[in-house]
Amino acid sequence: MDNAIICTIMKLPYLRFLPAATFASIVCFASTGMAQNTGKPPVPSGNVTFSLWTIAGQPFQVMIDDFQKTYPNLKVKWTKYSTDEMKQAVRVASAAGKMSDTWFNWGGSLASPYEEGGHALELTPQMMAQYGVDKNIVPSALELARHNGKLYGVPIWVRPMTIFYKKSIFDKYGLTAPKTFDELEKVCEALKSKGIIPVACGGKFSWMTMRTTDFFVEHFAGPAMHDKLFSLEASYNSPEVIKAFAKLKEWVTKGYFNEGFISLDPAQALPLLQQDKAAMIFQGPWIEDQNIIASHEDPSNYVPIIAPADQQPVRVSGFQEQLQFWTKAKPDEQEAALLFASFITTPEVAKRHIAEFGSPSSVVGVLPTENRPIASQMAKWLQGEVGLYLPTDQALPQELVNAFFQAQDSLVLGTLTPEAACAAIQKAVDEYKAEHK
Amino acid sequence: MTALQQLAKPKPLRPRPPTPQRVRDDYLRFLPWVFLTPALAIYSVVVVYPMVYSSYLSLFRWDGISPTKVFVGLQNYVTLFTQNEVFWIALRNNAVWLVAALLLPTSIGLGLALLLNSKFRGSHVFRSIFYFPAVLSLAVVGLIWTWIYHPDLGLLNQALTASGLKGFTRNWLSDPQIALYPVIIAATWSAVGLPMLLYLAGLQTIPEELHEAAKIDGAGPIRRFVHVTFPLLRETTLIVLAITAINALKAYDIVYAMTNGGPANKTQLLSTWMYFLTYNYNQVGLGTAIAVVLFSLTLIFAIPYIRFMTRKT
Repeated sequence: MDNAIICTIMKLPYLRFLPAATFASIVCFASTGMAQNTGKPPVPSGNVTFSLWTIAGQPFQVMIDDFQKTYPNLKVKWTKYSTDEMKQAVRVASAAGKMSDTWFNWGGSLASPYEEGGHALELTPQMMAQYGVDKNIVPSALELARHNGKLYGVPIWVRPMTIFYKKSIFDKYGLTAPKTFDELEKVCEALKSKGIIPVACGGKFSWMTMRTTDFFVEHFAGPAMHDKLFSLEASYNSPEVIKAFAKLKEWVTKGYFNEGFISLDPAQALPLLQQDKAAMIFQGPWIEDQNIIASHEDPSNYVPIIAPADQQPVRVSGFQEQLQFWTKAKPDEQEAALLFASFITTPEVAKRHIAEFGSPSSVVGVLPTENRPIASQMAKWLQGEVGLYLPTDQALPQELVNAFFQAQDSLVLGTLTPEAACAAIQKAVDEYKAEHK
Repeated sequence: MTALQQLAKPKPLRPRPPTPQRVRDDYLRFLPWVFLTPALAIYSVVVVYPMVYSSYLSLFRWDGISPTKVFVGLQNYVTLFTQNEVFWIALRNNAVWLVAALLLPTSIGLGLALLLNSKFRGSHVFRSIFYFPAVLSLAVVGLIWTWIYHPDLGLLNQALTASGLKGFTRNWLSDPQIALYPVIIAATWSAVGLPMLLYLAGLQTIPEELHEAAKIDGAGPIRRFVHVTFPLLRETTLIVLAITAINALKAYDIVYAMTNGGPANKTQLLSTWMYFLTYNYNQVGLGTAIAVVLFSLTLIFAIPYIRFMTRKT
């Protein structure tokens, strides 16, 4: 792929083609040798300890060890939280005016309040050059992280989310991976008739169910309208969205999800595949290390497929994950935190630890190792024509996420019709828009 | 006599002039406050200030992150009571939870205490066994019971199926009509230990002679319980009920761990809904308004309890 194509891709709205550009850039920059870190990040001279908040399962230890070995005068005070605790901790800290020097965050509406509220440090072009961010991170990953054209963090990972199937079950029943939406439904029907749960889901926090809902919206409404829904320009009352919600209800009624999935913890969904009770799941690449390899299973038995939305451009759900920095941190601690982010996104360091630190990485030229078939497969898609759309809980303002979740879950429970569910979301959208004129 | 000797010569002691009564009264009045100051300072910082600040925040529209808060007066309370459907679900669930908490753990705790109060081989072991759930964190209790209620892999449905009672299997935590009750059962399992312990302590204070006298008068076990034991456990019962009621209104962890307030917010309690609005959905004003409502409800039980305990002291 030549640079002109990549540049064209990168000029498109970020929600549409980001990952394609991300991984195209990885390969292109890696192969042409353009990725050279010319920035010289400043190193604090004295002993400095800075704080880092991340999610417990994230493998930062290997990076911290390497960083502290390279810079013996700098120490990382690492605090780990569960996913929801992490959101709470950062929020409380921001209100209390005492944030961590650097913290893990997602993007979209989960990060924007900290950026608009002046808590997350803006990385100016000078700083990006100084810390090598402009050269080491693929430009499209930076675009995904940008809010109103400004960068407030250093992207570390890009996470596509899609349908995985368990190969041994498909082989046993002579099924092949679905390439279209119709084929997907036929596979579900066939699995159901064999007594296998077609799709395992843990809907307790609503976001796992949301992945399927989002997929249906992508299928029925198409990429352009899906993005307009996120920017609140399109109506949830439109027939396309109602069809998507009706399809969700249809799948529930047909028993394509596991019994009682609506209150099941997401962590309890994958075991259904591991015990051969379910055949598919809507998940991300992190299950490869955190669940499959950790359970001493063969990751090649869990195959990710592009969720067949039958739309162009081809997209799957996904997001980037980043480190953000506190604007009011002490200068030397802020400098050390920025140096840490710069260090772990240096191609040499990222390559050295790719197996432990996980994939897909946002660092130029850093591709998954061969013993990570899931991450490798996803990286290959994203090098091609597969784009990402943000999941609803990152795309919509957080004030609206509850309305979406409640409508979706009420639909699943049968207390709302698809029309009523969509009307409930749109009502919340209208109220939000009136309040934030 | 040298000057040194003169200096060393003890002077006759003069009696200290009596402290005026008014000074002594002031001193005695002031003294308790001196001792109370450290505790008051800590209490003010960690309890009073957050409460007052939360009440203050309930008068604003604020996402909890941005530097600007918009003053809306009592609008958040109006919104809660007139537009927020989940608030009413949570309020109703709190009422159900409260009634269940007052009936189940207290009566089961009393029953266990009566059984374990009699001396038999291994009674201490049983006391420990029945108290054990109370020492577990509610998050752990929630996790254990979530697995028990798992629709496909859970112990409960598997046991029912194995016993030929497949018809009784349910999606215990997914059915919005019943989802709250399995959580209450899990909470009861965890909460029984404390009332049991308090009743055991209460039972040990009842003189054995009273039971013997009642026995001589021909009273059977039930009459002895109704006319001797239970009346003498009145104070213990009051304490148990007050503590249970306050704990019931504060219930949070187990719902968060087991259902996350779902499905579709049907198992929300005021405490969990307060949390979600404040921390997940950027509506700090509404969340803190719930906190004020919850605090007011808790006072209904806390004030009589505190007055009773103070009077007793």
